[in-house]
Amino acid sequence: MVLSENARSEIRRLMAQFPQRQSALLGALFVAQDEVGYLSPDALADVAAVMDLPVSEITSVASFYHLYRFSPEGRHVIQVCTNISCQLRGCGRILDHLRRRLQVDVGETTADGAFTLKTAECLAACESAPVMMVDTDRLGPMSERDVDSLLDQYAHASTPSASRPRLAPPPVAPQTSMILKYIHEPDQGELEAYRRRGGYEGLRRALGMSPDGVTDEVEKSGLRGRGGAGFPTGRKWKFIPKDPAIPRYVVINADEGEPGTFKDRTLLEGDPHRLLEGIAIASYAVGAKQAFVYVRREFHHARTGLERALAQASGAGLLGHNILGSGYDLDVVVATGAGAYIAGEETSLLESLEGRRAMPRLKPPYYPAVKGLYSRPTVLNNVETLCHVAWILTEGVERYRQLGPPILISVSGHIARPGVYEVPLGTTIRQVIERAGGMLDGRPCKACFPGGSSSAILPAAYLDTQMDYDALAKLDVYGSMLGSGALIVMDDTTNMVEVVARTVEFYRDESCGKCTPCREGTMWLGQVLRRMLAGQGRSEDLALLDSIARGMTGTCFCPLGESVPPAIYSSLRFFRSEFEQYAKGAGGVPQAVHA
Amino acid sequence: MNQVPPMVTMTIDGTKVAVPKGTTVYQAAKGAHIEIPIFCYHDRMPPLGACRMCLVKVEKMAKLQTSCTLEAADGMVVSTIAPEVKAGQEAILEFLLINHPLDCPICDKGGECPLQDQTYAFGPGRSRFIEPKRDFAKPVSLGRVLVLDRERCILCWRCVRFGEIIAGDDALKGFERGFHSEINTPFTLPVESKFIGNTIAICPVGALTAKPYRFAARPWDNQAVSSVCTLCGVGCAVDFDVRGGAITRTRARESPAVNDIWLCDLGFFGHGYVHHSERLRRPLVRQDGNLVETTWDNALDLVAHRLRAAPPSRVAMLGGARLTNEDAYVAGRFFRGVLGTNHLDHRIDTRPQSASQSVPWGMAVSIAEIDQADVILLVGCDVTEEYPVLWLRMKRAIAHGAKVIAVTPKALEIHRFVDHHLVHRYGEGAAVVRALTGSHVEDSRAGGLGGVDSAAITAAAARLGGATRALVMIGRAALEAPDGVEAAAAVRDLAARLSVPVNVMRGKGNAFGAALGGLLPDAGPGGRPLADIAGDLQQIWNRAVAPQSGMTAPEIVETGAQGGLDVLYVVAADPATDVLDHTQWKAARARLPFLVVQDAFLTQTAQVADVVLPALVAPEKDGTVSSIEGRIQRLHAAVLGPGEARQDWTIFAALAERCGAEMAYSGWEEIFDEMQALIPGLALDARMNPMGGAIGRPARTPPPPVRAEAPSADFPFVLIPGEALFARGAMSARSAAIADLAGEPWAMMHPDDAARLPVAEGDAIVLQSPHGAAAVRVKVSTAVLAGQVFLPRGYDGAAANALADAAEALTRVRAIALTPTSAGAGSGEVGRRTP
Repeated sequence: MVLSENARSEIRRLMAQFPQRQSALLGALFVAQDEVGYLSPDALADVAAVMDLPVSEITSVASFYHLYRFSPEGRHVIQVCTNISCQLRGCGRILDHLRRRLQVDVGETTADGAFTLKTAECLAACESAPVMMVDTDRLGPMSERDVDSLLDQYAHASTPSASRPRLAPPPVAPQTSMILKYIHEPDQGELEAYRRRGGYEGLRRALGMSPDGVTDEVEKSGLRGRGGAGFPTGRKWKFIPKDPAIPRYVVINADEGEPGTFKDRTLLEGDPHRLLEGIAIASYAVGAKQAFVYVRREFHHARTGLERALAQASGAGLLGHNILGSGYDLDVVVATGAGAYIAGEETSLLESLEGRRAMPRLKPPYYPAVKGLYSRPTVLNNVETLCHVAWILTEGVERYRQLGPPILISVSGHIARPGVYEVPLGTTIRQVIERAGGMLDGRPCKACFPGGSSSAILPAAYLDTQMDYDALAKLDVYGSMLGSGALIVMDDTTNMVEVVARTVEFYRDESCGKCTPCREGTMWLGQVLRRMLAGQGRSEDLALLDSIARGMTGTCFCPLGESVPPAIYSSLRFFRSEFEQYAKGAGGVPQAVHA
Repeated sequence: MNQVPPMVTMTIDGTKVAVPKGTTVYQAAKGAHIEIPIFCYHDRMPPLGACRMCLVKVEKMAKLQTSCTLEAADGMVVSTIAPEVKAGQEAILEFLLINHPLDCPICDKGGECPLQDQTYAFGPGRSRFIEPKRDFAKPVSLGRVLVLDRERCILCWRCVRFGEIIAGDDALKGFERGFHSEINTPFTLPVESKFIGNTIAICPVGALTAKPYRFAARPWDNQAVSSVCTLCGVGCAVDFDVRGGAITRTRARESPAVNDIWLCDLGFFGHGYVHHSERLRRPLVRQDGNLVETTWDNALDLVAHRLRAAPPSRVAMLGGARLTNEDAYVAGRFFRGVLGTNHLDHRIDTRPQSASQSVPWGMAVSIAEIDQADVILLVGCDVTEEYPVLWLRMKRAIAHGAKVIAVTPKALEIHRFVDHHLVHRYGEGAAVVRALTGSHVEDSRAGGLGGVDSAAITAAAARLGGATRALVMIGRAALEAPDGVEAAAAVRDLAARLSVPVNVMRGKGNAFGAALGGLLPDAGPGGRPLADIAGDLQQIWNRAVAPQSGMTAPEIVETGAQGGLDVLYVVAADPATDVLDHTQWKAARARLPFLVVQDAFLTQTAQVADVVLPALVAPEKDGTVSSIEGRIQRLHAAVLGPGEARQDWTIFAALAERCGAEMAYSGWEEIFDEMQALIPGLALDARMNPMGGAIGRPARTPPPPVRAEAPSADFPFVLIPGEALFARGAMSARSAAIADLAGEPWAMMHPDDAARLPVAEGDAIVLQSPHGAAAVRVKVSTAVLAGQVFLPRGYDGAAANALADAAEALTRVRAIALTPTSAGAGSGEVGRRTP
């Protein structure tokens, strides 16, 4: 027995929050890890005993997620994001500097046990790129000098890291907006302030309507899901069976992880009550008595704020029993992720929320609206989507359509003012870049990902395309899409082979491994690209890259694997000469283009 | 009532195919003899869709579809041969092969490998992969029988899903993710499973192979002999693969009504004893205190002489559960018809007057019917230890919504699937069962009835009350308990209220066949009472058979100990380790003028015999055996026996001749024919009703009141004798894999008791009773209640019967720690009064 009675009772408390105890597993493993320092075999055995689950099962689950560790680590864990937006902003320099300062390589711990150095995938904070985390603190944008001063503070800290000074992220660009209107107000996360600004009036109005009436209004608004797939929200709610005897759930996907996307985190941190209001409205509309918010583990600050807001709202009768005297009850539970991009895929999220490895489910039969969480009908909505819902019910569907409909775009990369921008649907890429202050240092735009790294790479010739579901999807470029609205812009210094390699490696490392083409194809593509970058390219490699991508196209189990070919096809098409250079072997490798 | 599912008609490769709605495209194609390659799909599990090998093109669908997951629909037009399909399949195979080591020449799967076959049939001609392959340490040992090669693994998840869906043991799991994914156990520890051999069988590559079969043979070297496993009572169909006169491996043979396509690991790896070097090859006789080899003629003459010289009433026979039906029948005919004694009993492991003697052993419902149960009640039946493959049936019922209630003195290994687990103090289970019927039972002691929470009993009773297709099983731990007679009666009443029969889960090997053959003191072949069958026997055997019942096994031992026997003939049994009271057995042996043992090994009993006759074992025999459900199944001799060992019935025939009787048969078929004349309904593959000397009747004499031993400070623990699938008995100890799986003898105690001793998991202790001692390793578990110690039978090295006293219903013991832990510096002993 290595777990204290406190830890055990915390695990039992988590178990009691869920209809099935295994749902508490991810949280329980963090309880054990926090207490023991890592998931030792004894710690795992204790968790298994408390939860009455097989040790093999919980060990298998734990090993799936990046944020669990199976050996001791340093007192402080530094995670440097190395995904595209941070790569474009020089995370390589930060990482090199840390390596030199700490005298360790990635994955190692300093001799004095103070620091463990790690890399991380997109931390959904691209406005602060290059960004890193020390323990639970997010820090950025980082310079070498920032690193030096931080290391000194942490190395000599005897106080908990939470009290360490935090580097302020750059502010979101000011604007007159609908969804983001109060995002900059420092007190917006407080119930009193939120209500003063009209908060929870949408919920009050919804509770005065019939559930079907609420759904109709959302459908009329034309709101489409903002998680990436863009499915009409009202129609999604209508899939839920009417029979009230069948328990149903609402699940909120707050696992934002698509590289270049950080609008959900921004909303969670800045306006948590708006999300809660949206959750309550959605749950009322579909008749759910329980809602689960699956929050990405890296969002420590957001989770704390959300839990605080939840407590405030419950205390004020806005959630919980008999909401606003309507007779409607709703229990909202905050659940945790543990480091897995695939958990953003809806059926994988449900697996993860049930305490299992986040591997996608077979559809059919596991359509969430039919057999979702615990095989019950389930509505899955994205954070931004529900914030829109709160606005729509507050201000009315006409105003929503008239003023918008708005859309949040996360702008990052070689951009002057990276941040989340609210624009009307249909704004062109070029206009969005202008809103964000234009290209960094005024250099020319070479290319962009219009919808996160899962979308195709568009060259500058396409900058006048509207950021709209249909306009992007209708382009003659395979895999062009609006996705989650993550615009990553790249200037003329960008090495496209490097960008594609990094993109492929992201999917390789985040692949769940369930299906063959995704598991093996991403690995093979990564090997070929890295070999080319290392000066070992061959003339047949371009055809090979294309062929591997073709083998993955339309054959993967879920969208993750299908997200890889667009970058391959589009880069081979638009930036072929760069690949051809590398295909010449050592002679073709260009000099480093980045400072 | 039978609802015929609506049919859908589709076209596959131009062929019209009609299938019931719900059929997958893969299954529809298979039915039309159109082959689609698969890896992850396995027809005993729901489709997964992971490997993507079974791609097909469907008209009006944009992407290729996985045929294993796609439901056939009316008008669907499918191509399995379109160029895109071919390209897709080639791509998937190429992906699968880039990290596969292609070490087929040194792979045990070579020659029966789906990956090899599919590559040949569907794969690209050459590889374009020039990068370094994924590198794993290999091979990795995962315990005594399983070898893992992660480089060969194609991550089809079959083995993982077997553990989750079929066996429920979660033995193998997926770890890490993406291209780092690997199948393993947590921390590469030895795999914990009773069914792991099945994962080797369904592995579509050589990632999981069997250590005992490693490099033993190529598939084409093996000749498969279909037979039946006789190592427990389930009667699973097997194929013995034979090469060069020796069994190289055991495989499951599909038998929908019994084991489907599965086996347990005792079945897979328990054949080692057959070729063990200690097999008896020649008869032995005792000379000058030692057993020395002799000729069959000498040995048979000597045995026949002693048998003829003894009055029939002073001749007794014990054993038979390891015989074939025909062996048992001929044995019965020899002792009854030739020698004239009714002192025959195969039930040597019963307590005097125990409930086991008053109930017919065997299942009243068929094994296949287990699937349909909605509530399963297990009373004193440790199903995974005693009848492991039946658990796989129960797991299927559970998947269909069945609920499980267990009333046992030790929590079952399958506890996660038991909805109402009523773990009680040993000897108090009957009261718990009574309470389940709703009868008011006085709480005799504190802590609830038998130590069980009363709310749990109430909930279980409610569950039982709602059952429409209950399955009721009572097992050894209930029948042999001090309150076994009461437990049996309570279970009988409960079952009657539920309008279902009681399944008596009792008897190992061919115990059912021993009863069928007539090795019972009060019944002849077919379990027919002696008075009823005497006339028929007279006609066929041409001998009069005395109608009076003979002695039961415990009575035979007791009588022997009192000097009441001249000859004891032990057949295919080891009473020295199996009778309840070893002390009494030793006394019997000491007073016995002549002990004959007919067996395959020099068992503990054989070591003290006067004559030992070497016999064949089941895989060497032709004939039939009967399973716990009474199914008559055919054994085919897979290999020849060692030396001069003989099949049992031929030994009795030879003895009969020397006793002046004609009892000659040309082979097992002739014996079987003769049995059919006496046993109505006997036929190959027929199911016989359970039979016993006193079917449905109470014990002939009421059991003596249980001597209520007060808990004593000297012997504070109640001993729970129980079962373990992997043990070290006469045969299992000589099947190396099984002996290793069993490990050292062990006993289980509650953490509170362990802390008080103090001992920790794995420490050595000695269990002592007033009668004897046994040295064991401790397992610490809350599966037993405090104050109780569970000791598995079946370990010859720590025989539970050394501790017991036939005159006492309960055995009380104390535990002495041999290696006190640092946890305490005390005497390491609980139960000794300290001054």
